[in-house]
Amino acid sequence: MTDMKLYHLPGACSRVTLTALEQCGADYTDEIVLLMRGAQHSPQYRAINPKGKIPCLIVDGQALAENAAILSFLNMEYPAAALFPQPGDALEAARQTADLFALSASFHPSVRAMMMPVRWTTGNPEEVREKGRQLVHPLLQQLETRLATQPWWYGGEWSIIDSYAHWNYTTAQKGQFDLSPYPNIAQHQKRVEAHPAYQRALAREQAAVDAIGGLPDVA
Amino acid sequence: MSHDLKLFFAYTACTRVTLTALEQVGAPYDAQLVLFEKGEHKSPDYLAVNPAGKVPCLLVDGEPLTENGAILRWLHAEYPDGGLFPAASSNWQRAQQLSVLFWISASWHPYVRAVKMPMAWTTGDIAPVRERGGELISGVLDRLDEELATRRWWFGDEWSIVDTYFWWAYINSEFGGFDLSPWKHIARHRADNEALPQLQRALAKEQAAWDARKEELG
Repeated sequence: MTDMKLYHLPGACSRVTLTALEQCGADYTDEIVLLMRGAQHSPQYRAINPKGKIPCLIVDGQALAENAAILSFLNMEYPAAALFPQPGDALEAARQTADLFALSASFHPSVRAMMMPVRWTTGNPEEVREKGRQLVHPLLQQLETRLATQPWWYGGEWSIIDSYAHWNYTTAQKGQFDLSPYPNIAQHQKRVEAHPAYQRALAREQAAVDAIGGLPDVA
Repeated sequence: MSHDLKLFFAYTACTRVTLTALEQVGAPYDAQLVLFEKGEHKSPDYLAVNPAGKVPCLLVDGEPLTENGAILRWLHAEYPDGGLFPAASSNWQRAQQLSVLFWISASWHPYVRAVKMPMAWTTGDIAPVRERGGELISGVLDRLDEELATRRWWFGDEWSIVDTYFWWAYINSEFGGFDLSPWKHIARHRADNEALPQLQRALAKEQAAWDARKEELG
């Protein structure tokens, strides 16, 4: 069997990757990359992932970058784990891929504007955070509508997309976005957080934090 | 397998890549220009097609498929001999092909937006957003240039659609006033892209659609 290792940071979008690995029942090791200390730019980490980003999954010594690509890889390797519903045809499969693009390329950068506005400006972060709020709102409106008639993104069953959406809106919430006008999302948040794979991912994060004696404070 | 295809695109948008892919695979398709300048992406007619009000959107036998990267992968799945991506023999290789698409769409594209349309990331002063965008785009240009120092195209000797997606991203940062001249291998890659017949056909199609309607903008 393959040798796998995930580079991650507790609370970052790598929590979704950990959730996927747990859902798959994969055997893997992990290591924290302290973004707050710039560890992603160290020569050691650049040798692993030249893009200097997390998550990064190492499989038999080779690196796979980009969260959504790792989720797709795990879905192909562990079909029984049902990270996604079984698509009926190629178009439905492509739409699942489209959801990954929407979450990684629209949702995540907009959430970043709220959570880490300095990533988008050398100037006043509050103006970026306000723009982020405007960008996140319609994305959450669409999700709220979707969840009005079904408990999960795709209907009756959990998928890893639920975890990815959860990470995005929960991170926006940490960036001072008020989720209270979205009651269906609030219910979804509780469901996602009760999912066993999410619980195991959090435990794995905590174990990794304990192993390094705690995370440094963010300035 | 034959499908009824219709692409909704915008002038100079990342739909240039989608048009190039359609030209490359040689499938018959219709294409309709969406005039963002007239707010057509927010019109009830277009929102009925794509509620997100974005392009590209490909209608496949009347059913919408959104997100550029997903459309490119669907086209590759339907037209595997179309040369959009190299042949993959493992899930790992397929995942690596997806990884570069996610890198471009989730990192490059938002960085280019900061340079070309900084008002997309702020309600206030745009100059500091453009400055940060320049720093971010420099970082990924360095990465791409390093890779292109070792081979002609991203995946090796053969062009793939990700090369044209990179091309679209870096020339758009130039449209935003960003100077690309320090990246020599990218300059060579750009010239190689711009000599591609499939890209030239895509640009001609885009230009003809624009010319037919630009007078409406007054």
